[in-house]
Amino acid sequence: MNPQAKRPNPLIGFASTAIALAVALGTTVVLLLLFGSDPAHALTSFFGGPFSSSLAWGNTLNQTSLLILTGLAASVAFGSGSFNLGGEGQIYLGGLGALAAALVLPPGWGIVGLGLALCAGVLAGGVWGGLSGALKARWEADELITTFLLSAAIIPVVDSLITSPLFASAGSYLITSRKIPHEFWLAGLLPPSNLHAGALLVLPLVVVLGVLISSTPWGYRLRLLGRSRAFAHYTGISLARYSLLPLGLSGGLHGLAGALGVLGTQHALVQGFSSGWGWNGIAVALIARTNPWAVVPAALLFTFLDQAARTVVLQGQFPFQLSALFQAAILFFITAQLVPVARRKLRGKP
Amino acid sequence: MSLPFDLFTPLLLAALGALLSERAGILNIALEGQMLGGAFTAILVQQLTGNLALTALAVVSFGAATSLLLAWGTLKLKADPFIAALGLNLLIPAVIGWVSFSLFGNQGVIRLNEAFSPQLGGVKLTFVAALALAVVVHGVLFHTSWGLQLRASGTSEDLVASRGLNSNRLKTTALVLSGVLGALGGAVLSLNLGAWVQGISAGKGWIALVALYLGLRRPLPLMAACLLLAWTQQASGFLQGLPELPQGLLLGLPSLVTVVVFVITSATQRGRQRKSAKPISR
Repeated sequence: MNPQAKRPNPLIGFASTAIALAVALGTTVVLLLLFGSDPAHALTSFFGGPFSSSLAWGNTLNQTSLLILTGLAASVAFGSGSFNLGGEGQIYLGGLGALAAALVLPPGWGIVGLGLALCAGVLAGGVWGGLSGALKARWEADELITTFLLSAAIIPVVDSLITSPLFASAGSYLITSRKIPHEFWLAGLLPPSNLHAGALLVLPLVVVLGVLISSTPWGYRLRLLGRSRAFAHYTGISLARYSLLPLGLSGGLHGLAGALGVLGTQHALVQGFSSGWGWNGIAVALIARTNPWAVVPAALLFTFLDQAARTVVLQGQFPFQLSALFQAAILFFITAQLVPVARRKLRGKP
Repeated sequence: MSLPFDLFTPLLLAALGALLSERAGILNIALEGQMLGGAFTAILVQQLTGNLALTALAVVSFGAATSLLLAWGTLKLKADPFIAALGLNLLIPAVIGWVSFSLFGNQGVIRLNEAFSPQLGGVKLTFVAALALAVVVHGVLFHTSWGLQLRASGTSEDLVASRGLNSNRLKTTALVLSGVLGALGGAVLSLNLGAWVQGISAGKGWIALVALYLGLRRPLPLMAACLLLAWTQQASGFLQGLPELPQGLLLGLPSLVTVVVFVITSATQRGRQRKSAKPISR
């Protein structure tokens, strides 16, 4: 640690984030201009696409609600000093949990069954995230590695369960499970878009988590851990308990995102339906600087840019996954301390 | 069971890369992307030029360039090394997909006319070279003053600075060597197969990080660790050939076994892993 380190200035943090976003966006637009087939048209659809119709609007909002969840999941882990790189697997497993419950429970249970299916998703993701926490608590196994590997281990298992006799559907052109009964569908809000009632759960959840983290002793301990594990330990916080908790919670939030995808959007488990949600959640959490309240605007912004990139690619104006490139640029620059660097440049010092 | 040369050699190369970077104090998480990129660059340049020397040059340049980018981001711009490296791990496959699609019209498989696996008295040359390299890395790390400086940069940065040495330069050099080794590991993987296949590295860049800790952060035990991990991969590949076993479980098996091995390693050598991450929020 640099002894002369000053108290962090929140304004500098915000400016750094803004610069990082601008750099990432700038890179994307320059590539679009250089390699797009029709640059003017590409730019119009890039910035106009996500708002072009109520269908596009609804899909944007639906995607935002999911990204808020995965962004919260990553924020909870990062903000308490744990790395959770296993979002992809935890989301997928959450989807499987919800699917299994929705197929097993009698359709007559209606809303109760729906609630149970959501819980099953949360539980499945939470257990998988919590497992890494437990491994860290018990044996000091670095969660950076175990979350990633456990996620990599579970994805092919879920893939193969979809096509197993347990869940398989006959005669679909997608690799997908059977449809869940109508009784367990989350109602659509803005048909024909993907937006559904599950999205309404998300904002209250942000408030609950935001309050928990910013104004309870429990949240204070989590934040302390995020600042310095050693210091937190000296103040008497149980490192073991607080390794398990954030990773379990983070996994549960990932699981909920997967469950919403299955119960609200797909109404079945389609292979790879949640691919990329976990990494995007990490990007969102970092844009929000792991602050749960800031996750909402960060997710909105990220979804807008992600959908924009997808529109351009779908319309054939750009040859490859522009959104992956944008995502990569965000991750590369988002934690950089760009403000001090820019300031030194302006003053002409080395 | 035969020796898993084809899995072992790339893994050892990447793990040596992980070792150098970790010892210098900046663990290279981008190895997975660099292996993929190395594998693709090798097939691409070999396909276009047919010249193995040019191919090797391209692969080395690719590894060095991506590492320099990472060093610039983390040491100059002070980005979090883990997060910036994740960015690279996402960037590289995206660019590969783009290049592959523009040049060959598909993102899946690019096949060469021949595979490259030069032999020396019945043993693969790359295998011998990788073993020799492990010995060289051991010698350099523990028996040269530069190796001492590198290790000091990882353990006591202040000491390095007080001796008038540039810790950032040491870290950059270590990252570049690490990236070159990762890219070469990838190239061995794809040239040996004579083809580029999407996702060819199959997590080896991550497994290399596990091998690093399993190998006690020293080059010679690292060889044993890589052998063990390569064997488990081979075993699960073999089991996948048996139709009566559930396939998904087996595809997940290498990762699962790696986790178990990693947990055992962690339990037996507590407090010797990655220094706890810096806080990300500011």
